[in-house]
Amino acid sequence: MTLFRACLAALLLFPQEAGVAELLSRLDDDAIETRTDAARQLVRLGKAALPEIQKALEAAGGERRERLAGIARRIGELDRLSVLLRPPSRITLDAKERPLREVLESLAKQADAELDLEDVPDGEKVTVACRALPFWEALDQVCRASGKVMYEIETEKVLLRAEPYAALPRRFVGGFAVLLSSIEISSSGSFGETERSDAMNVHVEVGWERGTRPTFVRVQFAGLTDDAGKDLLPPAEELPSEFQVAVGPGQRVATAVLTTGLLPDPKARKLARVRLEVDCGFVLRYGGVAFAEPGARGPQALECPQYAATLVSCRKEDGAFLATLKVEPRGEAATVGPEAFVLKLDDGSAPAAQMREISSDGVSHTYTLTWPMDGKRTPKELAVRTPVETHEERITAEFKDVPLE
Amino acid sequence: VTALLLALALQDAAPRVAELAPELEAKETARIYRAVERLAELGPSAAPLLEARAKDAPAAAKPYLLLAAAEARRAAELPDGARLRRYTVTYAPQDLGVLLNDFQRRTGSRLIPEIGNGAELPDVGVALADATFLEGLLAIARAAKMVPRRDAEAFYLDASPVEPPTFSYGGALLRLETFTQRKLIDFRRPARNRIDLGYDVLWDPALKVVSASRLSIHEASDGLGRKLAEIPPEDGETESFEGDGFGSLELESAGGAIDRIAVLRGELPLRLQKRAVTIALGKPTEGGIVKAHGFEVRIVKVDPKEARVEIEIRSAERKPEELRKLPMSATGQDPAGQPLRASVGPGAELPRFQLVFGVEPRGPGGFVVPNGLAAEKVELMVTLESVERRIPFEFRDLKLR
Repeated sequence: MTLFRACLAALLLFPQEAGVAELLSRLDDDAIETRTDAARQLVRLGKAALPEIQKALEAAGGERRERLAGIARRIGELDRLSVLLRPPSRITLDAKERPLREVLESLAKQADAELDLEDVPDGEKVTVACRALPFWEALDQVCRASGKVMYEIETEKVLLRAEPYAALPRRFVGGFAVLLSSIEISSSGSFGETERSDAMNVHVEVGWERGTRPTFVRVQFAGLTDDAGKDLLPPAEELPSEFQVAVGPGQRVATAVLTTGLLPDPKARKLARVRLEVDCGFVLRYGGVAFAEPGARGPQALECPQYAATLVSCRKEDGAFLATLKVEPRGEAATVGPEAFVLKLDDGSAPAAQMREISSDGVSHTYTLTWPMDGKRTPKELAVRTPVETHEERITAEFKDVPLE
Repeated sequence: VTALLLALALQDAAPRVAELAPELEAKETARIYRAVERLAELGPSAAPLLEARAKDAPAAAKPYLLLAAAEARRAAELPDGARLRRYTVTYAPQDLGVLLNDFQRRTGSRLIPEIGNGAELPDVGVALADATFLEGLLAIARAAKMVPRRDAEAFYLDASPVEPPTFSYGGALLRLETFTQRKLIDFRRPARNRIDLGYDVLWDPALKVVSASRLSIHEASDGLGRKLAEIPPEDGETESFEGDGFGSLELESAGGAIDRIAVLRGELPLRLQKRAVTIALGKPTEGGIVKAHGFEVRIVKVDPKEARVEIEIRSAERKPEELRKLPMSATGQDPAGQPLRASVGPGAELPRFQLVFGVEPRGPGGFVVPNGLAAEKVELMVTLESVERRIPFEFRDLKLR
């Protein structure tokens, strides 16, 4: 009886999803709610629904065709995003007086995370239990339970330091960790003058799990008050309200410094509320040109909607690959920074470029680029590219009663 | 005979000591240190007299009598340049430019007033009595509501309605320019309160300062008498500066944010040139070799576009590593007779050095590298021996709010 009631409840709460054909037919329904719901369900079905959607798309016309194309595009986007934005780990630990190092190794293995455990004291034991927790939350629990180690997110790994656990102001959202690492309050002046320059810098660390690959992180204040209720955010036009950092491949953390010129009351002992909006950007699609076998051919010119680019010359030299490129960016979206030039080597690696502009006529720019390259490697492709489709994942993190002492 | 000479010297010094000693109990540090400076000028023979007087002196005056004694003993070790010329002159109210021209002529210095676009120089009158060059310059600047600044060998006066805390002693002038109170709340560590002070140092050209180092603090306390600890620079090295004279120091307050620094006392370490040689390089041409004073200087490269001359220096007596430690400077002039000054730095490899020329006076705009340099009459000065001169300083009641 109990089982029957449970099944009935499940059927009522989660009506069985319709098949692809049924959902496709609902796209023509007169009710907008029905059409929207069908589209949402098709997107949720993902790649599995794509062959039938494509087939329907070929036969469709007018509004239906547009709707189907939108659904197919969204499925493609989500599919590309799934490669860049990994679902959070689900860590399960059940340790009673187990060696701390062993517990941390288990955590690292479950999350496929790189933890530097060199500093972890030998012989230290810990008792900790958690079930299906994301990596950062589980790591914080282990460190707190031990009390003898503290984590620090370094550029490409997480370092465990043999120092007392510090309860940083922190928020864990899915596979992301948002930490307030420090706050600096300063007041500067010149002797004899009354004018002062005040600033409060809030240092924010945003960490993510291995496999997640944002290309930028943008952090901004969404609220900031001291314990007397004083609003510490200046009008938006007075200060840059956001801090954006580019994220390189393999990077595990982005550090942002948010500044306000309004200081807490000198007697304030804490910030009552710090609310942050963190946007992690994932590039779903690039637009650009790619020169194949750049070391093996002479000058080449290529064009695309974003660039007209000429590979003027290139050569190998003393552990480096050097290229001179003339680039004409087209449209506002086409940016030219070192990250726009990607050299793929025959082993699949893509070293970071050093860029120097050598001339410009205002329309096109000529750059020399240098990539470190082992003499045994061969460049396979040199691309000039810019993001044309980006997904921004927003995390809202609110901290209360952040101590100022 | 020695005992007799010492007795005579003591007899000479005694009235001056008796005259100046009460000044050491003054409330103003400027008066105290002016007296210390005058007592030190009596030379080593006055030291025993000052030390004897310190034994029975009031607590407030005692450290200054001992400082004067120590300074008097050191006086004999200092190069001639450290014995400063003094000037007594009364200027009736007159145009500052005219006044500075006269003071420049008397002192042989380079003085430039800076008053901003279109503004007229004020009329200034000032009486200087037994003043060193910097004391005189400071008095003129105060009368004109300006502050003196230095850039290389040139001094300029900069309009400033408020005079920052300034301390003058022994031919050096130390001015505190800026402060920053910083509270660092690092959630991994205990919170810290720091005070950064930015300062500027000027010195009398007669001192022939080779380099100046970071201030060394002997005493610092806040308004409640709590000690402010000096924080050494992170790299552990003593910062030294040759050209612009700007420096900074950092103090830590265990008691949180403070309203004022009650006492800031310490020393400014300067290195003074004691023995130097000048090697005339004429108009540098690549491959040219000049031999003088035991040095062989070869012109390796002349780069007019970058106002740069690369030279190679060899010496039978000194290894290349030793040569690199010798302070060097260079002067010259362009074909129109405009004076040039060069900074001398290490080249790509030993024993090479690079001379980078700038136009004199550099003025407040800083080092100006001329386009298409053609340096002539180039002279390379090599300091063979230098001596450390630690200039005492003391500030009181520095308001930070």
